[in-house]
Amino acid sequence: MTSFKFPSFGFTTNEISFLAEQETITILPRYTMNGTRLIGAKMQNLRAMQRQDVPIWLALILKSQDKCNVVIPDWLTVNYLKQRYDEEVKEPNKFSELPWHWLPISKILLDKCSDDFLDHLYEIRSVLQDLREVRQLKARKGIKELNGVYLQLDGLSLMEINEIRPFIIESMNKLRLLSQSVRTDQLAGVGEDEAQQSVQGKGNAIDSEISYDDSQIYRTTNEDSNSKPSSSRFDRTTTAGNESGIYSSANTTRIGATDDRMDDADESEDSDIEYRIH
Amino acid sequence: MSYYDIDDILADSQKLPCKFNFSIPGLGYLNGRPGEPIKEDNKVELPLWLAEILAICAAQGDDTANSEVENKQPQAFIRLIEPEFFSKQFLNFIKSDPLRINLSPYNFYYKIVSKWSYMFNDTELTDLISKMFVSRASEINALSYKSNDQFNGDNQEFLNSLENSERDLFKISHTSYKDIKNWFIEKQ
Repeated sequence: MTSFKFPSFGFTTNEISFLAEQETITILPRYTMNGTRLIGAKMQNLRAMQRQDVPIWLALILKSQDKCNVVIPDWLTVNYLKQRYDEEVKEPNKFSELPWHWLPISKILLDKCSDDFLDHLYEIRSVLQDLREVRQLKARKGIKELNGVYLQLDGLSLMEINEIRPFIIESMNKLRLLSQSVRTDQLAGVGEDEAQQSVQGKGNAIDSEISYDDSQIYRTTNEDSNSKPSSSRFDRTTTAGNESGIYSSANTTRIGATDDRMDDADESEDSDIEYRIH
Repeated sequence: MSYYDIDDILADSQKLPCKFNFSIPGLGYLNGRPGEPIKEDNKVELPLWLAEILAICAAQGDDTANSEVENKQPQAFIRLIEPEFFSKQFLNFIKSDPLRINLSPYNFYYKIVSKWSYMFNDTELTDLISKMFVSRASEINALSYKSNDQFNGDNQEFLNSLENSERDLFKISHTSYKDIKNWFIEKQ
């Protein structure tokens, strides 16, 4: 019924993979090569058996031509990952620190450079899988405490954020709309006097038979005596111009779906990125 | 709540039961009897946008003697009757088990809730419905992740009871999880 556009909510998996390939990695060239200018990067002069940092995509090209070996990063070892896994289990409310792109990088390296690993591949695969599952479980557990205003997930990586982003954005948006439907109404009381005056003037001008000034809605319930008459929708137009502090606070609950992704990309250096929805 | 939101427009055309406070000539077609007047206390179902305006706008009494009472407290054209899905019983049901409630007959339930609570400033209602949404949403999320479990027994029943925006939520979430799963499997 509703048209939902999935890609507009975030990145596709291939886009994230692409971003991950911009990260640098250390390689051991097998031959001495002259550097060259490339689009978006510059390849330094390479000396045989001398370590050099290059972007992952370049390393992959050299690797596919058998011109280098890739030095597997420190965090992609069974020891390190096991430690992180223990941390995850020990602290149920925290995500352990892993690189911003740990999922795509580990996948790329396992796919393309499997001969460079010192540990057994199956061990690395299984501990990566464990890590991913335990973190995913935590992220999904956090959904039970969803509200319309704020969500903080420290230490989650881009791929993991992207996975739950469409769901979270949709449901937070819903909650925000629900809670706003009453809050704005209470705020209408702030400028009530002006609103009443201008509304009365309007009512007289438009039609003598209809007046908006006593805008009460009657509801046939037994709580009728308790329920206060609510201000009409027309009040809103007048209070909107009136910049009260409370009004602006309601605005901060806006979810920045499109703004967020720029932040995400910028902060890619940090490993503990805070994913905040303003 | 955006102006061009098609869901918002459709939600606005959902019908609410109301009662007329006045007898109005020529409005019988609302009641299925064209040509005849609509009588006081006649029950009609009006779309939300119309009901809202009529419930807000007060009819000003004419200059006859018996309108003095009305002049003191101008009466709206209609009164809104609490619909079934806002009744005490229904809300108690929500309180007791939010996952068991069947929202599929009520299209745009959440939108109607926010419009209703906007009119009556019903904080209690929005709090309750928000709570219900959170617990339903986490269940939706869990089910959209486990693709195999969706179609057995209770889960199937729950998925059938979703309101249409919840169903969209399920789809969105499911697509996202599926994408990542496929990406993991695929070899480059």
